[in-house]
Amino acid sequence: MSFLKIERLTKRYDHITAVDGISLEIERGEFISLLGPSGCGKTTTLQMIAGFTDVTSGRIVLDGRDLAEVPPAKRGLGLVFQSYALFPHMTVAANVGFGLEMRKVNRADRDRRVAAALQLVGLSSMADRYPRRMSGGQQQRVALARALVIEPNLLLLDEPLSNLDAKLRDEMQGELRDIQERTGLTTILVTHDQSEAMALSDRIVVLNKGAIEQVGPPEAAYKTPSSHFVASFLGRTNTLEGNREGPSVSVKDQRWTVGEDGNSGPILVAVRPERISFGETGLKGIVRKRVFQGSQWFFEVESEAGPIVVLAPNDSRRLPGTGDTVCLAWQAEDMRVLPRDRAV
Amino acid sequence: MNRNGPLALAFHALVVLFVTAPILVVCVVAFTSRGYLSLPTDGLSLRWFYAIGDRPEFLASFRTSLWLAALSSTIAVVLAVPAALAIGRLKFAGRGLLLSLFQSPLMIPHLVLGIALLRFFTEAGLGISGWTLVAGHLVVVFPFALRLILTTSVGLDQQIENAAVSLGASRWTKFRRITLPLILPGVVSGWILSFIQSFDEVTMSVFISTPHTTTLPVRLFLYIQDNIDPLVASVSAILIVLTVIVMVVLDRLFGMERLLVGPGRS
Amino acid sequence: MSAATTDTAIAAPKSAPRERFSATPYLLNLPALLVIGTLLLVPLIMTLILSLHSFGMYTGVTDDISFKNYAEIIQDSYFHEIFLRTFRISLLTTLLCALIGAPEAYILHRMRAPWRSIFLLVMLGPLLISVVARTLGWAMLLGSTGVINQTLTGLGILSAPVQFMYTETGVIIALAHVLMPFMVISVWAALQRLDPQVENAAISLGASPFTVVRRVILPQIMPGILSGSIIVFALAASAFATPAIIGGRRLKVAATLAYDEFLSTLNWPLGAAIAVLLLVGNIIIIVGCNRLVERRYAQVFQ
Repeated sequence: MSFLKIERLTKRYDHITAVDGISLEIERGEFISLLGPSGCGKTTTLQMIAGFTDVTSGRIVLDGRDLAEVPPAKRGLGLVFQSYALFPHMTVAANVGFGLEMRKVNRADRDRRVAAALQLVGLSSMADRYPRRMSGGQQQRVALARALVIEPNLLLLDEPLSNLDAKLRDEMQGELRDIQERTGLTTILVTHDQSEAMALSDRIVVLNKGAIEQVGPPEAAYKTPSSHFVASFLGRTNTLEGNREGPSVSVKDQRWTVGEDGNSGPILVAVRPERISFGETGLKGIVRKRVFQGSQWFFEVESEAGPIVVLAPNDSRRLPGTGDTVCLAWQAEDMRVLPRDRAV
Repeated sequence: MNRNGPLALAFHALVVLFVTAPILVVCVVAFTSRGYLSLPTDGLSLRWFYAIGDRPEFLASFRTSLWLAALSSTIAVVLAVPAALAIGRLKFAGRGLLLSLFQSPLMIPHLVLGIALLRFFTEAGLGISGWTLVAGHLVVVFPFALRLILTTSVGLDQQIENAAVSLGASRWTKFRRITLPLILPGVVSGWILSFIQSFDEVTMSVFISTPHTTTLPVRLFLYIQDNIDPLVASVSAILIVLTVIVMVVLDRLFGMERLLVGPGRS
Repeated sequence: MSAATTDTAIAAPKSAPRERFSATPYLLNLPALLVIGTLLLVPLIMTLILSLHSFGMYTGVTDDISFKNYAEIIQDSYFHEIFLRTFRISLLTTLLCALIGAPEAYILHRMRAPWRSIFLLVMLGPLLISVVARTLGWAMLLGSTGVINQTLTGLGILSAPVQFMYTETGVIIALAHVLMPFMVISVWAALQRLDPQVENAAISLGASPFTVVRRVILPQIMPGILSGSIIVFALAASAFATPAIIGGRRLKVAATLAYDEFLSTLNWPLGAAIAVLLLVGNIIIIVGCNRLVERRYAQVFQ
C-alpha cells in the first residue's frame, strides 16, 4: 500500500470546481511536484492535505490513516508557505522551536534539535535574529528548518522558491533536493515553474483545470507529453497541424514514418525547439528574428506550416541570419503526435 | 515636493494662530494673580493652581474620569478583538450589517445617546450609577477600538496562523502566541484612542452622571454654566498639558496620522 | 467628540472563498453584538416611544401614544427659529471649516519632512483636547473683556468692545475651531491618495500653480472636502457643549433645547421628540450625502 493515497479528491466552491476528482498514490520517500498554471487546483489540493480547506468529497489516506478524522494541528505535516509565514514577533530560534514547544519537548532537547535544524539549513549563526532583518533566502531556510524540526511524516512545499531571485532559486533548488535526499522525507512541492519541478522531483503531476493531465518522471513527461497542454506547459514547444495516414505523418510536403499505426485524419504534431535543425531539405521558411542567448541561439522562423521556434546550440556550426531562407528538419522520434481535438 | 509660496505660508500662520490661540490663552490666563479672568500682565502666579486644592470635587472628578476611561476602553477592546478578527478575516452572511451596527454610534449625536440611555436606565429600574456611565462610554468608544483593531487584523497574513496550526498549536495557543501579539499594535492604539474619547466625552455624560460620579469635563461644564473664573482656566490648563504629553508620546509610538487618519500608503 | 471617519468600510477578505456554514464568526461577534445591541438599539427604541407620550405639569409623563409633541414642534415658531438657527450655524461652520481646512491640508501636504508632521500634529492634536477646555479658550478670547476686544480697543481700532459671546458669530467661530480637524483629516486622506507625479505632469505641460490647484488638485480632493463637510455639518448640528457655553441660555440650538426640556423643564417626551428629530436629520444627512458623493465621484474612487 502506498504511503499517501488520494482518492477522487474534489473541492467545489459556490460555482467553481477547484479540484475535480484527483486520484494519486505517492510512495514513501518520493519527491512529487504538483505542476500547473495558477488556478489549476494545485494549491487547493495542498491545502486539503494540510487540512486548511475542507474536502467536498474524496479521501486522503496518509500511512493508513484517513486524514478526515485528524484536525490540522494533529496531522504532523511539515509546511513551507509561499510567503514563508514566519512569526515576525519571534526570533529564528523561537520560530523553529515553536513546533517542538507545542509537542511539549523539554527545553534541553528542544535547544539541541533547533540547533541541529539550523545547522542543516546553514543558519546556525542567526538563531537570535528576527525574521524581518533577514533576506528572502534566509527566511526561506528558517521556514524549512521550522517545518523539518518536528520530524514530519510528510513535507508540503507551497511555491517555496517563487519569491527568490533566479540565482538564489537555483541554489535553493540544489539544497532542497539535497536535504530531501538526506532526510528521506516524502515531499510534495506545489509550483508553476516547470524547470523547478523537473529539477527537483521524482515524479511530476501536471494539473489543469482541477484535473490531472499527466503523471510521470520529469524526463518522460517532457519527452512524451500526453496532451497539447502538457507539451506546451513543460518547456517550449512547437505545435503544427498535420495529417496522419496509417503509420505515416505529414506536415505540408514533409513526411515521417512513426512506428505505430493510428487512425487516419488531421492531427497535431509537437516538436521541441532544440530538436529542430537547419538542413538542406525539410520544411521551408524564412528567419524573422534571431537572438543570442549565450549557450544557444534563438530563432523565430516563418514556415509554410506557421511560425516555428528553433533553439540551436552555440557551437562552431554556421547558422543562418535574419531574412535567410532555411529548411527545418527533425527526426520522427523527436516529434509527438497528438489528437487535434484536444488542442487548447 | 514643491514648496509653499509666501501667500500660502502667511495663510498657514493665520490658521496655526487660529488653532492654537484658544488653547494657549487658557494656559496663560491660568497664571493670573487677579481674582477675575485676565492676562497675567503683572507677573505669573500659581494662585489658581493652589486653588484647585481647595476644591476636592475637581480631584474626585479627575479620578472618576480616569477610572471610567480605563474601564470602558478595556471592556471595549475585549469585545472588539474577537469581533474584529471575525469581521476582518472571515466571510459570513450579515457581516456588513454587523459592521454598520458597530460603527453606528459614530453617527448618533451624543446628546441623543445620553437621552436614550437615561431613559433606558431609569425605565429598566437600574437608576444612574458609575456602572451606567461605564456602559454609556462603552457604546461611544467601541467603534474607535473596533476600527483600529480591524485595520491590523485585516492586514494579518492567514498563512502565519496556518503555520502555527500545522506545527501543532491549538486554537487558544494560536490566539495567545501568534494572533494576539500580531494585532497588539492595533489593540494598544485602539485602547488609547478609546481612553481619550471617553476621557473627553461631555455631552452624553451630562445626562447619565450622578453627583458622585461626575466626570471632569462634566464638572468643568457645569461650573462654567454658573461662572467663568481663573479656576476653570487652571484646571483646563492642567488637562491640556496632560493631553499634549499623551499626544506627543502617541505620535512617537504610533504616529498621529495612523491613529486619526488611518493607515496611509507609507 | 464623535467620529474621525465614518467611511471605515473594510473590504471583504478576498482570499478564502466561502466555505460551508460555520458558527465561528457569529460566536466571535456575539459578545459585542449583545452588549452594543442592548445598549444602543433598546434605548433608541425606548426614546422613540417616549417621544410619543405626553407630559403634563401635574400628571408627569403619561403612557398615551400620539404625535402631539411632533405637531407642537412643527407648529410653534419658537421651535422653527431654533431649528433654523441650528441649520444656519451648521452650514456656516461647515463653510468656514472647508475654506480654512482644505487649503491648510494642501499646504501641509506640500511641506517638507519635519514641518509636515509637526504641523499635522498641531492641526489634529486639538481633537484630543477636551471640547470644554477648547471652548473655554474661545470664551476667554471672545468675551467683552476678552483678549480680542482688549487688543482691538487698546490699539484704538474699536471704540467700544464688540459682543461675540452669546451670538451666532461666536458660536460659529468656536465650532469651526472644534470641528476643523475633521475637515483636515478628510482632505488629508484624499491628498494622500494623489499621485505626486500628476502635479509635475501638469506643470510640465505649462500649467501655472494656480491652474494646477484649480484644474488638477481640487477636482481630485473634492470627495475629501465633501465627506469632510458631511462630518462637520452633522457634528455641528448636534453639537452641545460649545453652543451651550458660547451661546448661553438665550441663544438656543436644537441640542441645548433638548437638554433644557430634559433637565430643566422635565418635559421628557418633548425632549425625546427633539432628540429623535435630531437623530433622523443626522442620519439623513450622513447617509444621503454620502450616497450622493459616492455616486457623483464613483470614477474618482475607483
